[in-house]
Order: sequence, then structure tokens, then C-alpha cells
Amino acid sequence: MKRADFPFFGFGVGLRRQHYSHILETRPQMDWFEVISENFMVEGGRPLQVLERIRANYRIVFHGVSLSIGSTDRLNRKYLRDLRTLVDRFEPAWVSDHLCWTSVGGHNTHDLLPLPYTEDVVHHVAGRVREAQETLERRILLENVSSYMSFVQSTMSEWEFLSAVAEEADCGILLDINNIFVSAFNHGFNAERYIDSVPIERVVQFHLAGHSDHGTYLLDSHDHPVREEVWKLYERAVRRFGVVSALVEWDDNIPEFDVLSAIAEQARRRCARSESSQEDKHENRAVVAAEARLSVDR
Amino acid sequence: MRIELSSLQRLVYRLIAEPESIASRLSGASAVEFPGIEAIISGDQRLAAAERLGIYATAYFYRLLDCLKEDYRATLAVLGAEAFQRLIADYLVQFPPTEPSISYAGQHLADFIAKERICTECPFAEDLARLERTTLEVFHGPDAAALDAETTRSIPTEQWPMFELRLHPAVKFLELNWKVSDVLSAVNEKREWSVPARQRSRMIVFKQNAEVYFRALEVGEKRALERARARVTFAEVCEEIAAEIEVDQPAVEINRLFQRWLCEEILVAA
Repeated sequence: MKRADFPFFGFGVGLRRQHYSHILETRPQMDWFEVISENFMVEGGRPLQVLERIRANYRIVFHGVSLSIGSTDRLNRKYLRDLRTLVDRFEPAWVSDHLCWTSVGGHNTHDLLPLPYTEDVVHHVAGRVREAQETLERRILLENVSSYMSFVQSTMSEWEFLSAVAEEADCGILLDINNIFVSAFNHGFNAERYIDSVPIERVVQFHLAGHSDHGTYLLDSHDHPVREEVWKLYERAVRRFGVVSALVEWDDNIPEFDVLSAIAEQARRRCARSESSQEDKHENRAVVAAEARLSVDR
Repeated sequence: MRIELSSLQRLVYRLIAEPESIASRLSGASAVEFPGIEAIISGDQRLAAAERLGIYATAYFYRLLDCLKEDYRATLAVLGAEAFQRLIADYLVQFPPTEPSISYAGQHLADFIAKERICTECPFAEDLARLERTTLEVFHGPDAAALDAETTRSIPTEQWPMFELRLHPAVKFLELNWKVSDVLSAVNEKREWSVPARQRSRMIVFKQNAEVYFRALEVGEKRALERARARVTFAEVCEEIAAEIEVDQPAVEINRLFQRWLCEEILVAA
């Protein structure tokens, strides 16, 4: 798998029902929308009708929260069939979900729970990703989750685990920059090292969001603007991964659409700035290398 | 301590969703005791293992509570925030979510209320929760092109008796013992609600232009519409209405009901 297998979509926002009317009535400029799959896995009703109309004017991708790819329950075949039906109907550019587990013993927590990071779990998850990809007949992206606990039995870092699953399953990565920042604080690891360690070709999408500070831990609350520290991490990610489709998430105390749109534009500007500074650096490196070569030749 | 992934997940699930965890969230305790958890979950000076697990236990309960508050706004208004929260804490222990979509989390709430003490304190709460749930199910129910007046006008008179139709697939019926439709309407319209009358009624819940409506069924509608769940001819519908009503000229009443169904978009061509 390589990133070029997926289109570059630019800078988008998560589609939320609070903005349906605004989007339908004013058709605002927006590169793309990310749609929560489960909200549309219903028989009918207004949300599906709205999505039909939005799909007619915008590019979309599906983002799931209940695939439970790390669970030890059997993969939910009905869920996968429903997702496939939705994908066939709306033709999103790609489908993503989270590297976590949400259900066990037939019960759903509706939360994104972390896994122990071990070789055994890499094989377990990768096998299930392949199975899901076969059913959906497409490669999926897996997103790194924010977490508040880790397991004593883990033998590898989160970035090693994420990379190993993606390599073994041959799937893409949705790199959530805010989640890296939040988890780095909560577990005391180095966020920049995380960014620097993920395989470049597998990163197809970035997520940007806000979090809240609870003193002893950060909560991935999606109810604030993107914090400056996260923007800095994003800029670092752009310098490493290049220009990647990026999306702004906001799920609680959702502001006016224009606020989200402005953050997406900020991502665009910061991306351009980071990308050009990287090009400058490349040029500088090329000049230095050329000068070095000349000096050697002399 | 190394533990099989399936055992680990079952343990974590139990600790997050067990009654003690939920009870501690209600009492506002900062942490719950999870004996031996340090051998499984890493803790540090900033946050102990139990506190880390507690973040998930809190999120589990409040995420579901928030969802159910939205799905059962009228039930919440009637019971009050505190009683509703206690109700949901007990409900989640008996009916933990099983479906990938969180919108199913409240699917058993009316049945649960029926067996709870709260049903004695607020005897119409079960009916109200059932009506609210039904409106949600109809909202997400299947769409279908409704039979309209233009189509019916194009049918030659002689073909009317054999004209086949059926009920819109999203339509639902429910039996209620209290006139809770008034309470739900009042809450939806942000008006003050009053205790409903005890009155048996059979309701129809349907959608029109993606909006959900509900009303009591009239005499003459019940059998005809239930029969129209499956493909039925117009003549058969007329027979059902005529069998239920006691008027001298059933044709007038049949015509009135049929016009009403067309306006409400509850019929589709078979």
C-alpha cells in the first residue's frame, strides 16, 4: 500500500447534524467531509436524505467508531455488511476506524479502549483488519486513539504497535495528531518521537482536534479549538509526511460551522508554511550536498 | 502479570461497566477500588492504575447517560434529572448496550421502567418512554414513496376495488394506558406539561417529509391499517373499515379516512 493509492482531499471537517441546515442551505466552501458511519447505518430517515444531498456536492469519507477491530469477539458480520451497504451507496473515498476495542462478550462500551501492545496482539488485530478489508473490498485506515491507561504486559511502544499492525495488515494509517499529544502527556512518552517513527507511506489522513486539561491528565474531549502545541506537532508531521489530507473534529459544544471552517483553513495555511519550509530545507540540503560534493571533487 | 487478551478485555469491561463503578460515578467518588489492578494496568505518581481505569468508567456511564437524555427528553423532564440518572444507572446494569450504534442503547428502557418502582411513583413514565422510543424508531425507519392524490386520481373507477396498497413500512402502532402524547408534545414544543389522563388509546406513529407525527387511531382505522401491513386491495380495506364502524353510510366515512391517510402519507402503492 502507498499513500498515492488514496486521493489527496485537502482540508475538511467532520460532518455533524448541527450543521446540516447550514450546509444544505448555503453550500459553504469545504474540501471534504468525514462522516461517522454508525450515524447512517439506519434503514431510512432524514440523516440519510441529508447525506445524499451533501454527497452530491462534496467529497466524503466514512469514519467508524464500532468496528472493534481489537476485540476478541468474532468480527461483527452484520456490522460489516451494513457498512458495506453504506459504502456501496455513498462511495466514500476511504473508510477508517480506530485501533482499539469497543466491545467484548457481546456488550458494547461505546468507547475506544486501548490494547496491550504485544506481538501476539499485532497478529490478532492484523488478521481481523485483513478480514474486514476483504469484506469491504478495500483497504481501510486505522486511527491511533487517545488513551488514559496502558497495560503492564505491553512490550512495545504505541507507535511500534500501530506501525506493525499497519504493515502486517497492509492497511493505511489515520494519524490523529491531537491523540498523540494527549496520550504522550498521559503516558509520558515523546510525541515527536511518535511522529518520527510512523511509516511515511502508510499515513493517508490526519485528524486535528481540541482537548481539555484535567490537571493530572488530558482528555480528548473534542470541545475546544486545536491547541498551539498540537498545531506545532501537526507542522512537524507535515514536514515529515508531506501534504496529507487533514480533518478537523469537534463533537461537544459544537460551534458555528464557520468556526470549524476557519480551523480547516488554518490547517491549510500551516500545512503550506511547513511544506514550503521543508522544501527550503531540502533545497538548503541540496545546496550543502552539492557544495560538499564540489569540495570533494576539487 | 501476563493475561490472555480475551480475559483482559472481559476484566476491563466488567470493571468499567459493573454496578460498583456506576454507583461510584453517581456518588461522585474520585476513584473506585479495583483490587490488584496495578498488576494489569500501569499507574504512576500522577495517576494510579485505578484512577486511570476510573476515567473510562466515568466516560462509559456519562456517554450513555447523555445519549439517553437526548433520546428520552420527555421522560427526563417528567422524572427530573436526579431520578432519571438513577434510573439509567440501574438500567445499564440490567441492559448494557449490545449494538454497534449507540442509538440502540435505550431500546429496552420502557420495558425496564415497567418493572421498576419508579413506575409506581410516576405511573405514566413507561408509556411516555415507549412513545418516545417509537418516535425514534419511526424516524430511522425505512423510507418509501407515499401514495399521493395524483396517483389515486389516475386510477380508473372500475379498477379501484382491486387497487393494491399497503402501509408505509416505517409506521408503528402502540397501545397506551395514559394520554402521554400530550406530555411529549408539550416537551417537544418547550411548553409546560401536566400529568396526563389515564386513558387507553391505540396510537399510530408515522413520518411525513422525514418529520415524525403521532396521534390516536380513530374507530375504523385499526383493523384496516393493520391488515394493510401486508399487500391488500382497496376493497379489502373498505370491508375492514365497514366492519368496525357503525354508521348508515360507510362510504362517506371510508372516503374521509382514506383522504386522511393520503394526506398523512401513511400508504404506499403495493
